[in-house]
Amino acid sequence: MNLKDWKDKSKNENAHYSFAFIDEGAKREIRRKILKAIAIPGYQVPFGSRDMPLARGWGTGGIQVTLALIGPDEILKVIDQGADDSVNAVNIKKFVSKVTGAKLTEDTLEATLVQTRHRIPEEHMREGQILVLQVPIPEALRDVEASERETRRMHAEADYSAIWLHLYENIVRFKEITIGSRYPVMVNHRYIMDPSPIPRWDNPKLHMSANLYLFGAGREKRIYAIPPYTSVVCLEFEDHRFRVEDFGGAVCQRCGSAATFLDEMIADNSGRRRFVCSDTSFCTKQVELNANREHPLRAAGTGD
Amino acid sequence: MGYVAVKGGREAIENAFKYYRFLQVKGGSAPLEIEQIRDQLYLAVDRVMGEGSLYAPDLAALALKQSGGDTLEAAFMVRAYRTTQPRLCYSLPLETGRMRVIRRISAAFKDIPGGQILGPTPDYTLRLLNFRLAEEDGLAHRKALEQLFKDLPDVEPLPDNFPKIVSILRRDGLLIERDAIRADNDRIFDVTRESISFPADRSAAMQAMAMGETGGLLALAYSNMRGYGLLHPTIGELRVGYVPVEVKNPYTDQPEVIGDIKVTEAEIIYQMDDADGLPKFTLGYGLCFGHNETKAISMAVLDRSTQTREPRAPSEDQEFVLMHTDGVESMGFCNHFKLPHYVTFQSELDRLRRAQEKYEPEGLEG
Amino acid sequence: MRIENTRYEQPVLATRGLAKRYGRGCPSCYALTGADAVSNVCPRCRTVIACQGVSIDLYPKEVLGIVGESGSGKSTLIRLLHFDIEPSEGEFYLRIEDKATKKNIGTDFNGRNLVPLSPYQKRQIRNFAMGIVYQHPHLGLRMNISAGGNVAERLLMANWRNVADMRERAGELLQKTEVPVSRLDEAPRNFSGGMQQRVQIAKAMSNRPMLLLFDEVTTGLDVSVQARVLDLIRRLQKELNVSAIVVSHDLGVIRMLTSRTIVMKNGEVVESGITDQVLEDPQHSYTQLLVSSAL
Repeated sequence: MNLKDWKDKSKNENAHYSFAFIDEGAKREIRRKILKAIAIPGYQVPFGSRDMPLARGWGTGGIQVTLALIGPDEILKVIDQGADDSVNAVNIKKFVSKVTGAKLTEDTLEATLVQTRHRIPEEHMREGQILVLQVPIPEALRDVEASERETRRMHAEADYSAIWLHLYENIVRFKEITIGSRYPVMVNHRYIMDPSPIPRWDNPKLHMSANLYLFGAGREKRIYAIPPYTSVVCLEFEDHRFRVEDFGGAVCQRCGSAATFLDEMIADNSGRRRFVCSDTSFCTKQVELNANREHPLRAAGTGD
Repeated sequence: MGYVAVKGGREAIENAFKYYRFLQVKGGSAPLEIEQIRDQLYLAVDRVMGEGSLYAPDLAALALKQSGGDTLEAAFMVRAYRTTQPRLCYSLPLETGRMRVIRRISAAFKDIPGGQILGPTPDYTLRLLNFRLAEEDGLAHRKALEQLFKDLPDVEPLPDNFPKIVSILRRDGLLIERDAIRADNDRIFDVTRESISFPADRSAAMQAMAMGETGGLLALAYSNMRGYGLLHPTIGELRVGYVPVEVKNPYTDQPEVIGDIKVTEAEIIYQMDDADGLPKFTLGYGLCFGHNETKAISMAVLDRSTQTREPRAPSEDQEFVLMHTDGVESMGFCNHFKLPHYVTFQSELDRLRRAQEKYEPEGLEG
Repeated sequence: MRIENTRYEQPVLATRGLAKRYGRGCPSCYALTGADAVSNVCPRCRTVIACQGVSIDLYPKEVLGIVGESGSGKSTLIRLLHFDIEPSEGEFYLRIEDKATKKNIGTDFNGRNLVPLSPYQKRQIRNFAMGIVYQHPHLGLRMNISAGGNVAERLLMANWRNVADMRERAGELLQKTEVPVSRLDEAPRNFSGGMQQRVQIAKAMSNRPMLLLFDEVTTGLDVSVQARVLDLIRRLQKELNVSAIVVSHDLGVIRMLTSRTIVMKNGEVVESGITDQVLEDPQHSYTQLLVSSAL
C-alpha cells in the first residue's frame, strides 16, 4: 500500500483500527496469559507485548490488559497517582474510549474496570470489579539481582534469601526497612511479588480483597495477578514490622480526611507544605458529604 | 580491481561521493531549505548541536542537510567546524535559576511554586501517524499559526523566575550538600584541550557527557534504571528554556551578557545515602544544548551512577561510561573497520594456517 | 581416635554409582578412564569423566574423609552431594530426621533417590539439612553483606523472622568460631583468609544441619591458621555430633579430622576403610604412593 492509498483510507478514520486497537490474536494471547496469571498468584507470566501508540514506560502493559478485557458495555475509570485528571490518565482514557466506545467515569464504585498508575483507590472495591495496575519493574528481586535469568531461577526455587538479606542489612544500617514504594509481598505463601510503585499505604489492600488485581508490564513483557481472597503478606520481621507512611498528623486541606494517603505539595518559596488527598474522586465525594452534613436541611440517608 | 588499486582509486572515491549525493537528488523533490530544517526538524538540530558541541542552529541544520539526515555524521561535521574557530574565553557559570522557562516539571511533587509548566512536548500525545501531514500545502503553516492564536484566553504571563525545587529540598536538609564549584576558570577542566585521565574531575565528566551521543548515554542510563545499578530515580526538576550567557569584560571586569542559549536541565533525586552522617537524598545532574530531555535525564542518571562508592555495573564505572559515549569517536572507530586491514589480516591468516598445520587429533587407542 | 560402632546403623547418606561427565560421551568412556587409566579424560572423545561408579556410605555422627590429588574427583563429588551440579548417573539418598520444625523434609524424601528431584525440592533439602564450607570464601559467603548477615542468611532460609534473635544467634556462632563479635556488621571482604573461613563455618552451622561438607577448607591458609581452623572443626563436630564429609589432598587434615576415609584416583574410589588403617597400612598401590610421598 502506498501513501496515496493511505491518504484515501484516512478519510474514514475508524477504518484503520479494530475494536480496542489490538488485533484479535493479541487479545486472545493476553487473555490466556491473564488466566494463567490468575491460576498462579504472584507469578510473572511472560507475554508478547505489542507496540502501542503510548510510549514504553507510560502504561503500555496496563493498556494492553485493559484493551484485552474491555467490552463496549464496560465502565472505565483511569487514574494516575490517584488523580482522574492527571495528563497520563486523561491520555489513556481518551485513547481507550476512542477505540472501544466504553463509558468513562470518575467514580470508583461505579466503574467495572479501573486502570491505575501507582495507587489503589481509597474506596474498597467489590467482587466483580477489576483493578489493572501499570507496572514499570515487575521483578521484586531486581534490587538484589540484575539478571532476569537469575531472578527467574530464584522464583522457581523459592530462593529468596537475597531479598530477605537486603531487608536485614537495611535494618542493620539504618535501623529501619528503607524501602519506600514497591514494597515486596509474599503472595499465596509461594511467590514474592512486586506490587508496583504503590505507596506502602496501599499494600494492605491487596490481602484478601474482594476484587481482582491484574498487573501489566508492557516494556518488560510480563503479566501477573492477585485473585480475590488471596493471602498477600508484606515481608517483615517480628521486631521490625511493616509500616505505612506517616503524615505526622497532617490532614487533607480540602476534605479534612486524616485516613487517606496525602499528596505533599510545596506551597510557596518559603518551603511551606500543603496536603491534599491523592485520591481526587474520593476527596471530592468527602467534600460533598461534608457539605451535606453541615447543611441544616440534610438529605435523607446521608448520615455518617 | 579493488578499492585499493593505486590506479582508479581516486576516481572511485569521487564517484562514491557523487553517488551519495545522487541519492539525495534523484527523486526530483524540492531542495530542503536550511530554515525548513532548522524550524521543522528543530529537535534533530538541537541534538546535533549538543553532540557537535557547538551552539549554532543554522550550521547544525546545514550539517543535517548535507549528511542526508545522519545525525552522527552531522555532529561530526559540526565538531570539525568547531576546530576552525578560535577559543576566545570561558563564560561565567550559567545560572539556570534565571532561565526564561518554556517547560518546567517536577515528578517529585504534585504541585510546586510556579506550577507545573508542561511546555512544548509530545509526551502526552498518542503516537498515531497523522496522514494529514502528508497533505500540507505552502500556506499550511500560516493557517496553523492563525488557528493557534485565534481565541486564546487571557493568561497570566509566566513569572520571570521559578525557584529550584532542589534548593528548597537542600534548605530543608533533605538533600546532600555539594561543594560549590567556584567561578574560577583555572580549576575547570577543558576536555577539548586536554585528555581525560581517571578518576576524572567532575567538570571533565560533565563536559564529556554534555557532548555525548544521546543513544549511547541512553543505553547506559537505561541499564542502570533496569537494575544494573541504582534504580529508583525521581525527577526533582526538568527545565527547558533560554539562559543568558555571560562573560567577564576584560577591561571593566563586569559581567556582560553576550546572548542566550536554549538548554535542557535535569535534576534527579536518588535514594538515601548516609555519607554525611545523617541520611539524605543524593542528586544527579544533567545539562545539554537545545531541547533534548532524553539526553539530559540520561546524563543526570549517569552523573549519579558514576559516583557510586562501590561500582559494580558498567553504568557505575566512570571510565566505562565516559570512554564509550562520545558519538564522533565511537562512530568513527566503528566505521574505521571498513578501511583496508589486509596487512593485519595477512598476519592472522599466517597464524591460523600454522595452527592448523600443527593440530593433531589425539592418537586413538586400539 | 574412638571408632564408632557404625556397622549396625543405617547410613545417613548413601550414594550408588554416582558419575559425572563433561562432554559428549562415548561407549568407551568409562573403560578408558579411571584409576587404572592415565587420566580422567576419555582419549576417544575427550569427555572428562570427573567421577564414576562412586558408592559411599556415611554413618551418623561420623566424619568421612575423601582424599586424592587434583583430578581425583573429590571436589566434584562434594558438589554433587550439595546439589551444586547434577550427576550424569547414579543414586543419592539421605536419611533426614525431622526436628520440631514446620518442615516435613524427612517424611517427604527419606528412602527416595534425590537425583531426579526438582531444583525447588533440592533447595529445600539443602537449606534444611546441609551446611558447606568451600575452599574459597567467596564461594560460600556474600562478600558485600555483613558477617552477621551471612550467618543470618541461613536462618532466614529456615524461616527465622526476628532480627534481634538472628543477631544474637549470629553473635553466638561467631564467638564459637572465634570471630570477634565487634565485626558482626562488617563485610567479610576485609577479613583475613582464616577469619573468612571461620565465618563460613559459623554460617554452615547456623541452622544446625545434620550434614556438614568441608571442601579443602584449609588449603591456601598459613600453617598456624590451618591448625586453628582444624581444631575448631574438630571441636564443633564433637560438640554438635553432626555427620561430616571432609575433602582434602592433605593427609594430615584427614588424619586429624576423620574416622573413615576413601581414596580417589582419576574419578574412581580405589580404597576405603578406617582412617588409621588406610594411612598406616594402605592396600592399593596408589594409596601407598600417596602415603609414602607425604612430607
